[in-house]
Amino acid sequence: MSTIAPALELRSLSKRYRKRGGAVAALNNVSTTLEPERIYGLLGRNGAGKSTLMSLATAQAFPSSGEALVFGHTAYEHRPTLSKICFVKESQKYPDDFEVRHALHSASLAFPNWDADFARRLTQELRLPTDRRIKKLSRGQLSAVGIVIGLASRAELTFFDEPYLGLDAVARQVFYDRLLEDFAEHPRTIVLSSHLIDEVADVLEHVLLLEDGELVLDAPADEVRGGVTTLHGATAAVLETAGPLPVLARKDLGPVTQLTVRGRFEGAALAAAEAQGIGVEPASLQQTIVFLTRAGERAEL
Amino acid sequence: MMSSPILVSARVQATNRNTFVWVPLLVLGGATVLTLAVWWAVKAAGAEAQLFSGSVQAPFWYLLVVGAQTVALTFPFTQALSISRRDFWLGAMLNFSVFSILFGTLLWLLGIIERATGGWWMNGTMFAFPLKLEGGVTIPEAGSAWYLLLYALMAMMALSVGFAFGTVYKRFGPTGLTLAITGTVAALIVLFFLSVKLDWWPTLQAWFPVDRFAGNVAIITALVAGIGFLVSWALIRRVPA
Amino acid sequence: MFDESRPIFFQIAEQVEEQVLDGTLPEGARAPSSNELASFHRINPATAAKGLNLLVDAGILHKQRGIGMFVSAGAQESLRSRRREDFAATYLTPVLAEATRLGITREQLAQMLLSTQEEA
Repeated sequence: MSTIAPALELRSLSKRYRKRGGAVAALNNVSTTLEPERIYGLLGRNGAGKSTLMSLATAQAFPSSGEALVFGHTAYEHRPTLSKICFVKESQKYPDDFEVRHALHSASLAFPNWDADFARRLTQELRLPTDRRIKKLSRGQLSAVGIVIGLASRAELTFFDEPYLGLDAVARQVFYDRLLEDFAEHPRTIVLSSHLIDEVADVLEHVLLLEDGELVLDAPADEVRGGVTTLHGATAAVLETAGPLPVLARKDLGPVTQLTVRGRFEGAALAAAEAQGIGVEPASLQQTIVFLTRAGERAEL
Repeated sequence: MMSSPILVSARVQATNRNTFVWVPLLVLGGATVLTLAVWWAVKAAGAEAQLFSGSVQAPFWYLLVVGAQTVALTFPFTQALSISRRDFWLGAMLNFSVFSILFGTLLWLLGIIERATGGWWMNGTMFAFPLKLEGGVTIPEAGSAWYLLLYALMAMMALSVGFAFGTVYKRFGPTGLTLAITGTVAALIVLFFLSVKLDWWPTLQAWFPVDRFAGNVAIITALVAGIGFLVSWALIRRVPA
Repeated sequence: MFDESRPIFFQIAEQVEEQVLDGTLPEGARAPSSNELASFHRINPATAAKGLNLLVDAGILHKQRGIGMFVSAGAQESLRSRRREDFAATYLTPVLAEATRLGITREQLAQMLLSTQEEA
């Protein structure tokens, strides 16, 4: 890995907007590194700064300070770097009166690795009407245009911005299936932005979580998953089992306590807890993230 | 399959044939047919006078919109396709130039037909307006290529002005656009007053003699188009998608 | 399909283990590749690879360069013996803990066990 430049490197990246009463930070001092050929989740609520981060990384917008390097080079006005990037926004604008086929044809001209057969297959599987005007598309069909361009472009750094919005269950499965299939054949760096964590959790290798413009979590998905545990049982036993682990939430009901702690219970620790009659329930990725952010932690799990 | 990034940019921007082919033709055709219908009605009512129509201006208003939309809508799309700002701008210039030349040629040819048919058999003029050249010579007697040049430059000017204001809008938002438009109008008014107050007219007349009307129009439209393109070029480098 | 709360790679390893244990994947057979597992379960290929590597480390699978991963000789037996070792901790300890809570004596428990076997 050390000889290859990171797919994306953010160095103290910030974006501030002037607003009444002072400056508002859409993105505040974000630094991280995305390795090539991995699938990243860019998670966070609406307005957390996900779109800003992607726009800055792709030089579609300009940072107030800091820099973003794509394969070692800023993408701004740099053709070789730009040609490695694909970022179709969730709220992407298209030329007036463009039909779906116009957008796909344009993409075929612009992206060096474009796979026309793949694009055709995706278009059919997602039931995208190619001769319909983009203005008249439903939310799901609009998402499908972004998915087809994102996948068929085979760009070395591809961003999917809330790709599942408005898609029905079948189309979502088509997206995840084709994404994983094509990723296996043509490994590349993929960033899935999502405000619904459960939606994308399984396909992620690494999680980046933004909150109010700050990067509050940057960790492998497997480490995050189950990193928070809820213990349930007699108060004294629960507290003893939890020991020095940081407590994220506590609920008491008479002599019984439900304690959510940051930590993992496996093997001997799990057996010991269960032997004491304590219920041990690890949190899902989504729950973990909710707990961690609620606690306002700057997490390094 | 790889071709020059500028060509790719130009082709992407011209992917939808409506923009540069069908809509301009439709607007021009509609305005022309409407004019002919009105003339026919006027003639049928027994009028003998020579007829004039300014309907040829219609497509130029549309080009103003095309120029603005190229920045407002096409630009963000080219950004999604990872086309650089520079290549976007150069591609737009290429399309605008090719379109302007072809459109100028079309209007020039229509002017030739207009003369050849005795003003569409109704002694009318809507393409080949009489123009004064140097030395007071008036065309059209011979279907002069001046029409091609003038119409092409006017198309270029409309596209350029729309493009420039579109860029201002993308860069500075609605407030910026309002300021730019009022600013431009205010500057023109101030210039006009100054020219009266300070008695610039004789100087201006020396620069743009009346008997060189065609040349004057060419210089002024080229100047305005050039300013528009300079403004858009200066701003596009810092316009967010 | 997955227990959301534990690392997915761990669960992948368990699933393949089960198949080796019950003979679905006989010794010498090619195990599913990480990409196949990823596509099938709709998970990240790296996660699937991590699961398979656990099994390689445990000697259940072995890699053959350029071809894939195969079930090692003796894998089924070694899994069985490991499960037997774990049996007490995994199954008996919770049963005994619950029995103690309910006041069931060891003798009563043994009686229940035998009668269950007879019914089965």
